[in-house]
Amino acid sequence: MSEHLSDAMLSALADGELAGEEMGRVEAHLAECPNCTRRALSESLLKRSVARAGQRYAMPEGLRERVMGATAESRVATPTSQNQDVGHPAGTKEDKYRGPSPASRDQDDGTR
Amino acid sequence: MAVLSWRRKDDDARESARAEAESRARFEALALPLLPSLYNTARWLTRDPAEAEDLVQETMVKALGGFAGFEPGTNFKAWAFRILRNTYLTSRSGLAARRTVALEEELEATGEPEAAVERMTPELELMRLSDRAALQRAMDELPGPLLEVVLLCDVEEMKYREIAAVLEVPIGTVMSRVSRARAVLREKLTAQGVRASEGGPVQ
Repeated sequence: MSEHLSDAMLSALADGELAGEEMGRVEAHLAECPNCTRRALSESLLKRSVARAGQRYAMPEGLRERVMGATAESRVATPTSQNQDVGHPAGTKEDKYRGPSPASRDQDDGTR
Repeated sequence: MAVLSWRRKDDDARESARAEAESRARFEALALPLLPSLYNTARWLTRDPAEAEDLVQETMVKALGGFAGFEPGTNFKAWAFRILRNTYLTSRSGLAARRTVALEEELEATGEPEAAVERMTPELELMRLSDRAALQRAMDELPGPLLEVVLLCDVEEMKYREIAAVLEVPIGTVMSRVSRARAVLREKLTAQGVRASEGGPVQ
């Protein structure tokens, strides 16, 4: 029998984060291991229960208006006046500022 | 001459006012639908209704202020949640929580969760999980870094990649925290379940 699934693997499976070869290996193991299958079901059950239990606090009445009032008083900032807490999630910034790759620079002479 | 330059200034002002109004409308279209989620998360983190409202408001003001730096087409929800989290972490209760709550080393140091705790029987587990209040108590006891990851993953249904962007950590760290958070939740539910089955107080 193939190796049992690690806890991290079970989480990733329940969270839909597995694909391709990894997913194939996990499915193959689950097909022959009732114990890991039970753990996988338990993981999904926990995930769904947490999703429901986590929806706990309804937004108070008036918060939307309060927020709109507060934002109405402040201006939409220009790029030079940005707050430092505010930035791009990892990944997007790099995408934007990534310079031309060496390959594309090499082609510049030919394409222009 | 003077008249012309006045008129131009007037046009410029009108133009920039219109641009700002458009930007504000775009912002509101993206941000207002997120308010219930942001509030729910803020309330879990701060554990206080008034503080949660303040946190959401401050988050929205900061987000609007930085909206010019938001790239259309990228993930606005992850962007907004990242501002919420950073704002919380620098708030008074966020700073207090950081001082008292276990850091990464401590989280890892608790060792092999699955080996340490016998798994619940499927029947007991099903019973505990259908008890919404019991699960909420268990979630309330989670250390901040584990609570936030299950809120983003399970409640907000974010992908690991998005969570990594919110928390500014590698995806591998997200995966191990999610897994660790679920293990701790199971331990707590098991402990509650044992107490309940012994007839003792569930609390």
